[in-house]
Amino acid sequence: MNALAQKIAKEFKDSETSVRKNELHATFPQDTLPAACKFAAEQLDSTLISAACSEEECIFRIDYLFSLRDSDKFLIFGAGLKSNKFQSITPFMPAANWYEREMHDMFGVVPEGHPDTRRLCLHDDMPANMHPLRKSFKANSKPERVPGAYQFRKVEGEGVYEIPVGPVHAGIIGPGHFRFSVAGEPILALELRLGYTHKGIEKRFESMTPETGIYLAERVSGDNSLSHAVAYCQAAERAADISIPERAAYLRTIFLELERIYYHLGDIAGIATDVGYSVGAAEANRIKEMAMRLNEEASGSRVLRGIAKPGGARIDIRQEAKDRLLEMASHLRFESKILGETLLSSSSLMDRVERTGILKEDIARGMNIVGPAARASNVSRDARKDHPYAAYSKLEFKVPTQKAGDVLARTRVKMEELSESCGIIERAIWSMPEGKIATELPKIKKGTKALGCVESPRGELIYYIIAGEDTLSRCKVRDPSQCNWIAMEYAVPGCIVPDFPLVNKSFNLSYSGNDL
Amino acid sequence: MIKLIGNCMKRGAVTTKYPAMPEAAPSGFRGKPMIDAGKCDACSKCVQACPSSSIKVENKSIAVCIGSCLFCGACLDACPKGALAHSQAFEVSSMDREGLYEKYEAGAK
Repeated sequence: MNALAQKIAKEFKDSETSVRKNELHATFPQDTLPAACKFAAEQLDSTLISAACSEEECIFRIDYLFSLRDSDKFLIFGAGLKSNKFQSITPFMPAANWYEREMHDMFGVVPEGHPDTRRLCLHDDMPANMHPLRKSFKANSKPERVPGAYQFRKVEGEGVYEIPVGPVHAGIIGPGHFRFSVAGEPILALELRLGYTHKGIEKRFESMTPETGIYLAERVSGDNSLSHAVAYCQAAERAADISIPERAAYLRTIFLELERIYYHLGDIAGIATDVGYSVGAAEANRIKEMAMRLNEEASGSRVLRGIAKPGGARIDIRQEAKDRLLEMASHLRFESKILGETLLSSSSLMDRVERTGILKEDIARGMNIVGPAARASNVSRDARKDHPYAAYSKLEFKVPTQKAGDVLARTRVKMEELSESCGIIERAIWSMPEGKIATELPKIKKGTKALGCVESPRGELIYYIIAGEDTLSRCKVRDPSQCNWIAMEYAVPGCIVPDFPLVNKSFNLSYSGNDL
Repeated sequence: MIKLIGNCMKRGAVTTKYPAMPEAAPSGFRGKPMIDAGKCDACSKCVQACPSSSIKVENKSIAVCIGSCLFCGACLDACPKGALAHSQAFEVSSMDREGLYEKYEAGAK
């Protein structure tokens, strides 16, 4: 870690570096920050995982968060801004695209040289000078509506027409607008417009203490409740510089894997539904319900809420529950194996999923796609292995990958992860030590920055917090959906319109987690 | 497919006729928080702990709003008397707003 700090200090004379655990915080003068980001990506072999703007006494600061590819280290490169303009890094680092557009909307800091200056999170009927995450913005104020319309990218040519879909969809899913440009059946281009469920979550975090923030974190994205809770807890624990009792780490691991099981089963059921294979879908939903009831039995909550808290865990697993979990883990593995065989031997399903919605490996790497979607495109990234947290460093497991990058590959990755998760639960229960399940969270020093990283069922999830006096001063949530929505724009072109729901389902992204 | 149908036949129906045949929640279920009024002394610790401000205490009368309750159990952890507990009830919907409030008198038996 110190060698890395020296390397950066040698390359950039005016930088200030500090090391805390496996985080390297570096502050640069504003004009050398883009060069430093380039250096991080090219010389230090790291990936941009998040970026956050923050405001301290009317001075804006931007931080880019990187994770090193081959070791468990994070880089946090930041700079204080002299005005409300900064040099964009998107031209050479496309993964920064949405982060910088988000900063532009929410803080009113302008990324100069950014190729796309349209709004992202705020819609065009919001006043131009309204920036909700500035400290001067009152959370309970009601903005005026102004006329304005979003300019979609145009595809022109003979026979090309547009199909607008959404934001309101059939079925109970979140709102999002999809603009297809098609010539006949094949889709030429897709553009997404999200942000319809903006709830002001990041603003709300700023009025919460590190202890109470957990209740909000759990409710950011409904089906990844526990991952959000654990990522938030990890950030708070790192900021307070404490480590959790070992038993709590094992408890978190067991419940995180239970979350992965029920989530993946729901995804697989969705794929079967979308190809019209209702017998397979009913079977998958039956197993999913079994998993959710197991959650309820073991934790009291079907969607695994109220399990983690900053400092450890809130509930323990009793002896009877242990036996039940072991029995069910092996049962679920058996059931999902048969489910996988049934689905993948059905020609009506295979016809639809093979070579549909291909996400190429270079796009997955370049755009920082995460989770099962990346692993299906041969990018072996998994926070459980790369940045081990909870008890993952002590447990053996495989990270399944596929090469094809199509809907089938993504489904296969999820199926293989299911059986891995059952194995992790079994091993974790066998080796879980006795002892305390929580420690006290001490007061966090004002200005402390820390991040929490969890491999949620959708992929790598990052919380980045900056502590304030009593409450949090900033909490940047980077749901995996924020990285992966953009992948749809690359995977869908070339497919026919009826395949879109299938491709969409295979990524199964969260509207709520993205819109915040 | 044949195998799947065979398995389904062997297993029989997995769904139940709800609400005609009501089901009980599992033992650890975190349902509606209930106050044992006899143990409660209206100290308001639960009011401070509640993240969604669903508990109101005025003198000795306590009202818990189920409409905004998160079922998180923070009030249970905060209660020094152990007067709060999750019940097994999960059918807590109501036709009017009044029905969403559980009212108690502290100290009442």
